[in-house]
Amino acid sequence: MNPEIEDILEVTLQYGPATVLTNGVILTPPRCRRLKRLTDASEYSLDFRVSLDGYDAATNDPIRGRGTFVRILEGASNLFRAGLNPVLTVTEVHAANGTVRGKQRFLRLLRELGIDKPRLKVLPIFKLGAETERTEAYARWQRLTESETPEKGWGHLQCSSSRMVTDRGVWVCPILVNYPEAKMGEALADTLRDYPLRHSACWTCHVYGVSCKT
Amino acid sequence: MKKEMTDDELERRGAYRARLIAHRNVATWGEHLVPLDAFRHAADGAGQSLSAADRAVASDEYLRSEKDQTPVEGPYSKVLAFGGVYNNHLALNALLEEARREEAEALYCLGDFGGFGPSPEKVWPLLRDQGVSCIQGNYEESLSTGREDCNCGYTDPRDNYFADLSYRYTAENCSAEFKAWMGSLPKRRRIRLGERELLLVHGSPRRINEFLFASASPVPFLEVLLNQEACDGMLFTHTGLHWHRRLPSGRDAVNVGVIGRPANDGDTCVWYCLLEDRNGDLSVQLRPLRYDHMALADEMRQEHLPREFVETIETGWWTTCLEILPARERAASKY
Repeated sequence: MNPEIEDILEVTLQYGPATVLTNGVILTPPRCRRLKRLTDASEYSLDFRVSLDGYDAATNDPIRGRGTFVRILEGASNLFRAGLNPVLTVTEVHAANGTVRGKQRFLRLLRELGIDKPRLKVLPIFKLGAETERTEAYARWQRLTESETPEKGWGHLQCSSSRMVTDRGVWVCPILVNYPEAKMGEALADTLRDYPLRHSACWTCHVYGVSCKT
Repeated sequence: MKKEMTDDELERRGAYRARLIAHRNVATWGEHLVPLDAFRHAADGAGQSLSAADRAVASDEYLRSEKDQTPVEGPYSKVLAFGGVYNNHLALNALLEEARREEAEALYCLGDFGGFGPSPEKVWPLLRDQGVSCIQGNYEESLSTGREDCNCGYTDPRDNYFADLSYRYTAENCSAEFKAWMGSLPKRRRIRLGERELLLVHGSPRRINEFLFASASPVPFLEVLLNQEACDGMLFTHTGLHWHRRLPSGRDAVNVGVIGRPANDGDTCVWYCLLEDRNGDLSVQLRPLRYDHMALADEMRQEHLPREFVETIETGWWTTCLEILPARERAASKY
């Protein structure tokens, strides 16, 4: 985590809402209390999305690292106890993650941990990077074509109204930040144009309605 | 005393450390691991880098004000605006009486007549024959065009499950004539209130189902929307939660609230907005409205609507459509 994240968030919240996507492993009680004070001082919302890959250590830890399941849940509990109720995001990397039974079991565990208003979001897998070796890459047909343009356009895609700003330039979205060709420019003003939806990840966003927002 | 590690433990620790540092100086480029420098070199040369002058042109073009041809209604000195009727004919009746008491010159409904409540046809004569000027919400757009869903904009499966129940009930209990009438309504209106020109939309000027929550709508963003629409203020609804912000430019962004269900605060009243010109200044009052909510709950039960919907009407707390709320609004929820 950026050592200046709390200062960054303090400034950000003067201008607008912020959502922190985190693995949650270093969300200690004092840090969570400080973050709560930041949100109390702002008129804008500070949202947290804590990500994991399974509903138990046996399924999460082989992907996220040994011992991470327990630490992630500790971080989520610390956020909740401080008054910041995070959204737990789980990818469909295991079949059980998307099932009603799997979700109910996990929600029960969260309630046992004291999170009595649990928020859970199951996200589809982007078959990128290491995921292509773990499972499979996108099939050739998993791409958007002109004929699939919705009647109302592409306004439902997050890239229709946002960009990914980094210290190395501005990318079209967070998902494609590992592709140099998805970098649109050096500054936001360089990127005020359409980006071709030619990547298979664009297909996932469209078909599953994926958004990095709440 | 520190315990000596076994060979097996040392080997496991070594493998673990090796995995932890395996990514150093390499980058994931799509499906491949490449030297970090190679990725940086490719990224540094990618994208476009406009000159300062071209950036200014691009920004101006993006922020360009483009006023539509919507006729401006009025001028008025006092109007009443509301949204999200959600089939709540009892609250709509109470609101019409309130409008008469307040001697409002005009009434504006910002869409979403159906959903949630009972007997959709009951609100139609009240809207059509009592001088309410309406615009389409996502419900009217979907019902009049035969869409299979309400296009509410939820992203959570549970939210969408209840949205679907609500939409199907409304679609099945709405006459073809009512749906056709919905389709004849404009998607935006402009009114003059005193010296000010206000834009009326359902979700936002750019999307009929955009959720503009107070805690997630930055001042600069609202100013940009008002600049692009060349107006002095905008009225919208869709979220179900009312709020008002006077912007640094002196203009106003107002979520007028909904009269179909309470505002998720444990109070069973619903909310509307009274706007008045006061010597050139705009007065915005967000007001609670009482109605016979227990009678509505009874009707909902008779129509076999989900008990979750009935509970909301009876308690003032939302039981559905919660996952779309930003953290601040969600923290104020009971569920």
